[in-house]
Amino acid sequence: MSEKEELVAIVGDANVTDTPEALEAYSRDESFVRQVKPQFVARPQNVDEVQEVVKLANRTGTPLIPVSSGPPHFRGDTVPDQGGVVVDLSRMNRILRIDRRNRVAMVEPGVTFAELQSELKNEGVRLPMPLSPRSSKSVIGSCLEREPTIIPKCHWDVSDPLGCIEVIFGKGDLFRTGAAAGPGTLEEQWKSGQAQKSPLGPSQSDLFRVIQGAQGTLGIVTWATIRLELLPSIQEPFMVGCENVNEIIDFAYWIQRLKLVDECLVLDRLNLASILEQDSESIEKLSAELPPYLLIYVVAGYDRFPEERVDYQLKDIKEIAQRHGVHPMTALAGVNSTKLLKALSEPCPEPYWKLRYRGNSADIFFLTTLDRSPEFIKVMHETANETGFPATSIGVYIQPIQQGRSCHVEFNLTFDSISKAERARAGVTFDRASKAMMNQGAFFSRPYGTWPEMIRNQYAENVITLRKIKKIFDPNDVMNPGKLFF
Amino acid sequence: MSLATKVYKSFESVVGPENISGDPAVLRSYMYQPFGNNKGVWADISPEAVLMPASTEEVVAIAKICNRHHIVFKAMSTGWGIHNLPGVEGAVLLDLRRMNRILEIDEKNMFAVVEPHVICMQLQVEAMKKGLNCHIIGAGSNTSVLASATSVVGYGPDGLSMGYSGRNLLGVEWVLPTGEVLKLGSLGADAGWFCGDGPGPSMRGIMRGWEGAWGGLGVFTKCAVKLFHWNGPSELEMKNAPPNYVLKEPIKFFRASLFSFPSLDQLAEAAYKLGESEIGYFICRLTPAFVGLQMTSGKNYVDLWQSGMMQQMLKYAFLFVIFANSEREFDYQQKVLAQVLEETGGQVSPISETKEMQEQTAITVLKVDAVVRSCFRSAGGFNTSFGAMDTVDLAINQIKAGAGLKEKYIKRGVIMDDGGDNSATLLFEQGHLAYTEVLIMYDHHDGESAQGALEYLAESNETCLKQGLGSPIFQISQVGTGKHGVFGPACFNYDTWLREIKKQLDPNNTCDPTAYISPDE
Amino acid sequence: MLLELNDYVGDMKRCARCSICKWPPLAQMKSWRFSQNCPSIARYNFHSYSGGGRMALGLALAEGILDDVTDELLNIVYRCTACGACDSSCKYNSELEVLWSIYSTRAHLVSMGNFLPEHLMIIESLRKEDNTMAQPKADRAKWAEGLNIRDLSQGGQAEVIYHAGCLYCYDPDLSSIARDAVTLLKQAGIDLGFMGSNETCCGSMAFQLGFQGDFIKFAESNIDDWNAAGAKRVVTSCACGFGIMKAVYPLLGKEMKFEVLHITQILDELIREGKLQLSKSIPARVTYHDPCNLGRNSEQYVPWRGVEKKLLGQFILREPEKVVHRGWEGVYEPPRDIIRRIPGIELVEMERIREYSWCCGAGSGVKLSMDDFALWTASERIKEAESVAAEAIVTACPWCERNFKDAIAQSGNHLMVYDVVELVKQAL
Repeated sequence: MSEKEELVAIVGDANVTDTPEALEAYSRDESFVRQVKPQFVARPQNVDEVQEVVKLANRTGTPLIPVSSGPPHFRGDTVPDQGGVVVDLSRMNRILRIDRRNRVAMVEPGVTFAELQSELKNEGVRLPMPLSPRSSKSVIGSCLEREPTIIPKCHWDVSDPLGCIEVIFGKGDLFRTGAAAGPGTLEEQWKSGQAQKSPLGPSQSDLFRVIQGAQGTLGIVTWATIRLELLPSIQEPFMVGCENVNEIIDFAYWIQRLKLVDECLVLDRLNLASILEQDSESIEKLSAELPPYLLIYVVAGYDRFPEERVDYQLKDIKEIAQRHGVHPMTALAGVNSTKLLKALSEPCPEPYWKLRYRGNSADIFFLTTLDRSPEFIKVMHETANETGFPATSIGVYIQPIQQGRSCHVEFNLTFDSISKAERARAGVTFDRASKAMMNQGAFFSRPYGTWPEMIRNQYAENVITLRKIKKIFDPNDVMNPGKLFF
Repeated sequence: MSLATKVYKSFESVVGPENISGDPAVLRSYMYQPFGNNKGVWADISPEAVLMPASTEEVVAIAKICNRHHIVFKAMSTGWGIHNLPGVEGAVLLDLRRMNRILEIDEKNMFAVVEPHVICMQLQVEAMKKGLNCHIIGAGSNTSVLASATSVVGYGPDGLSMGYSGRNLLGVEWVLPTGEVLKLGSLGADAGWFCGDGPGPSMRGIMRGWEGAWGGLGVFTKCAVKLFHWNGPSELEMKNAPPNYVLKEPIKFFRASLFSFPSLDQLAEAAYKLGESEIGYFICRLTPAFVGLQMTSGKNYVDLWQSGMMQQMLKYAFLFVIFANSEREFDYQQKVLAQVLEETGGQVSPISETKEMQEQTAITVLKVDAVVRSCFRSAGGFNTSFGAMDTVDLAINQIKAGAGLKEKYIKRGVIMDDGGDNSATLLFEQGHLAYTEVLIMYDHHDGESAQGALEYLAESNETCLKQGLGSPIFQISQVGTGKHGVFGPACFNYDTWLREIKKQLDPNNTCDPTAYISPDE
Repeated sequence: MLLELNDYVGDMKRCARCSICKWPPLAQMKSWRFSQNCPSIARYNFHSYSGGGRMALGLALAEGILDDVTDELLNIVYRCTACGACDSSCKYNSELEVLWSIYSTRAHLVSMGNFLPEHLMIIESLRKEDNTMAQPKADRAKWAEGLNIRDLSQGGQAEVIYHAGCLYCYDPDLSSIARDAVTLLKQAGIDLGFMGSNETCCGSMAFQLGFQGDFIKFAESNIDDWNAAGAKRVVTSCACGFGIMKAVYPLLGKEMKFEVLHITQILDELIREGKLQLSKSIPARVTYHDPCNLGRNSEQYVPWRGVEKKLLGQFILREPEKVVHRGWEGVYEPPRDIIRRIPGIELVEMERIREYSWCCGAGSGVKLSMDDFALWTASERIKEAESVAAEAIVTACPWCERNFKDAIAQSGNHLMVYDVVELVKQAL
């Protein structure tokens, strides 16, 4: 049997593609990664098919590139490095379970934020989301990438909101992590009151953490549980505009420290305008009206005495604001709080906000602590100056995570990718700024594209250990080879 | 077998002659380990020597010597429990007592960096000076912060607001079994301690699971842990209220009470509702025996127990603490609490409402300094069972199963009659996670009692297996051998993967195979 | 005999290994810097050097599983001032007799002929000269020359007998404190006598080192002498002496027709009664160091003799109930009250005080036989005094004073050391 025939035998004829258009689509993404075509795209429907595909790949030495989200992709991790088979998980799109009582949902990788949020709403719960995710974004994909979510209060551990996973390791073994591992089948576990919510274990392993951040190089996740939060009954968004993020840092620390706010993030004028408006002209107009940076936070009430909850939180926040000389506003420069809230609560309608201003965005992101974020803004501007990249095309997103213990800092270099010159300049700026950030002490915890190479020497011992881990879970190196440090 | 002189001298040149001993008296004192022992107090196996390194560099040097000479090494912090000792002959024990510094408290970003022998109480008093507090495990504030975060479970009733040790972990400095130093997360490039995950996959996934590697996968020499806001005074002044130390002044916006419910199921409902209301500082399922033993001892306890008063008043109860950051928040939380109690039939128990009990409870909640009273004092021997973490419903089913099972052993007279249902702890992370442990007390010096306790523990593990009640908390002396052999196959052969990890990270088999896993099946 | 190792097997075998003995009571911990309570393990670090570690060794000896008495074993057992901090901390959650387990282990070793040569020197001095200082007995009363105290060694009676203690008798640096004490008592009109050169050691060091036969001899002789002298009260300036007289003397089964007081207790009383008036100002910021034997070790020890019953399955009930002293009822307030009454003085507290005080380092023969350890321990206390910006450390025991002074001299520090008595004398 040819490889294609073997694939067809597993997933069915309709679910194996090798048309030029399909292969072309998977050979590239919006990043600067080099273009490499896969040989096939296979679309399994269930865990057995996924397992068979992985076993086949091990027999034949074929690279597999798992993809759960729909396009556009930005990180380069879904583009093959060495050909192979793209394992498109979009057919695995069932919401398997929503457990309101235990605030957890179980979903397959093809489930998007749009699909899940609307179902969750019916149960009075919600999923802490990343900032305005694109409609085609997979929930599991986002969780596996450790994308920061916008409600730091709910973000107890860097791995949240991911719970348990079912995974086929690169070696072909089926495994379940956390409470889902057992003992007992899922049904038996439900009978004993479990909900596959605790991500820890089994026993002395925490393998979900190893799969998270692996960019598909260690296995393929076939379902995951996601921690949920209650849907607020009242939400009041606020904005604090400032010239300089230094002005709001202490205030931001304190409102998180005292757990007074739900959503909490900092956007620059360009990014906020891009989220709220649809086209570049409107974006520019709004951007011009906005202060350079805005701290955005939401105060919420839930089921029990929601007004009173909001009331005490607002009053406590007011005292903190006074102490730090900041002035939270409910409306700013024509920013409608309803629109703002919608943007924060729902996946992004088309076109994806990062593409609205110039058509594309090269994102530099890393972790640091909030108090250091101004340093990195400075580095970004200095670098942009050097390369001639217009400052007005750089979006800034600062997301406190882990309940304020650290923060995700992101620079969105927006550019017109049709223009060769702009693309080139964006590429140079991206590289140079990334290196400068690294030298300044940025932690590239999610190293995509060229970043693994860039940081490899700094993390020499980590790389050695990761390669040992790779040998365990993917000894034949079939899972997304060439990515990360592998 | 004793250490070859050459090897001993190598170790000595690393730590200095004052910090190594192979003297029988020294070794014998380390072999005293009642907790987790099958019977009595003495471990069967003695380490060959005890070494006390003072720095990561010394730990590395020791590890390298051990790799060269194929010697098993194992580290301990405070050393409470037989799992701290190497379970094989010919090993050396690293007592990390000299690595005891609090390296940093980052107030803004709310984390602390500690060495292995910093105990929770040391961290708490220093953190409170900066308006911060730390999670303390249920065993007490005399335990090591780092050991709990990196290596051993991590449950504590303040987990409602301050999480679980293993999930409070940020950057880690880890001396691998081969002696290389692996720094996790942001620490890898010395970018700071704020994140323990990455770059790429997180090696926190390898270093510990829910349980921790129990010292069986190298040595953790530093780690950062999350701290949390503390709204109390920077220093707590005590007064004597014999036999307790209590706060001189009550803390503002702090209220601790025992609440009892008509049934376990209603208690569970209340727990769910309180969790998702996002109120509360601390919650702990407490039982008549546990509370009684906190309150009194000796004959007074026996009389109290035999009067049946505690059993009647606290049959289904938990201790719930509100500690708010403002008066408004305090009022709000109390209102929510009242509503939840009304919905679930919960009543405040008069037991907690006397001035004395209010004072005693407050300090026990904050300092976690009196757990020994309810665990070791009565019969001498203590152990725990069930304990897998997931949901409140699971915890309740664990309680029911455990209590039912204990009846048999109580009837036999081999474990202390504590009512059977003697469980502790409950919610973590505002109710997102939950668990409970079912406790037993027995006389570890009495052969029949010790044997009975062992049988109970084995049967409780089997119950977890048969009834799908999660993987049990630990059976300390059997982590590497018995338990994995049974639960591994029942849980997707996780033991196979542990073995693979061990092969890769510990090729010379220098870490205690009874703590993590044996390289052999 | 008072100390029988087997009597403590029940305690030694029930140590929970929780390490609470290594820290002050957890609720009383105030800082990382001063978070230790046991000088021994703080200095030597091996678990063996803690209260729990020593109990384990005592148990091993009792059970016959530790045959070899190595030098290290003796080191472990004796590099300990028997300050009782471990005992006090442990008893927050238990009824285990940690300190008496340590005493009994020492007695057991001594009975097998195992002890340090330095200790033998102390005991021989006791046996030969009735003091621990290797000084002539005949010189014992020299400190009191010119004070005109009634010497009861030749007969006669007094209501109050002053017992100076070996160190005050023989240390010329410190004798003035005993002189001040006597002067104050006489000034207050106390009917005072002393045993002159017939005064002997209280026996505390012998007891603590495990030479219980010698201890009993001295203790019984003292009781007889003081009874014969018709004393209603015996006042001592030495905290070690006070501690052993309160805690252990009553166990000898001899009627003690007198009350034992420490000098600070009687001075406090006299000041309250107006018999001594503190009027001169001493402007100083001082801190008070609680001597272990005046504080936590001065409660009367009650050996337990009874049976263990099992109720509720495996609950171990002792009958009769064990009387446990946790150190809370030691002498803490009188010295403080005195200090507070001195005009101009500001009293600030260190972190480790009262029943959880850090030892000065001198006790249990350590000052005489392991001065390096004694000085190290004292230096820790001095740092603690400095941490509260004290200009002086005030205490009520000659051993504490001796050790602090030596440590200060060694370090070139400027902290002053006073006895409470000295301050009272200055403030009159």
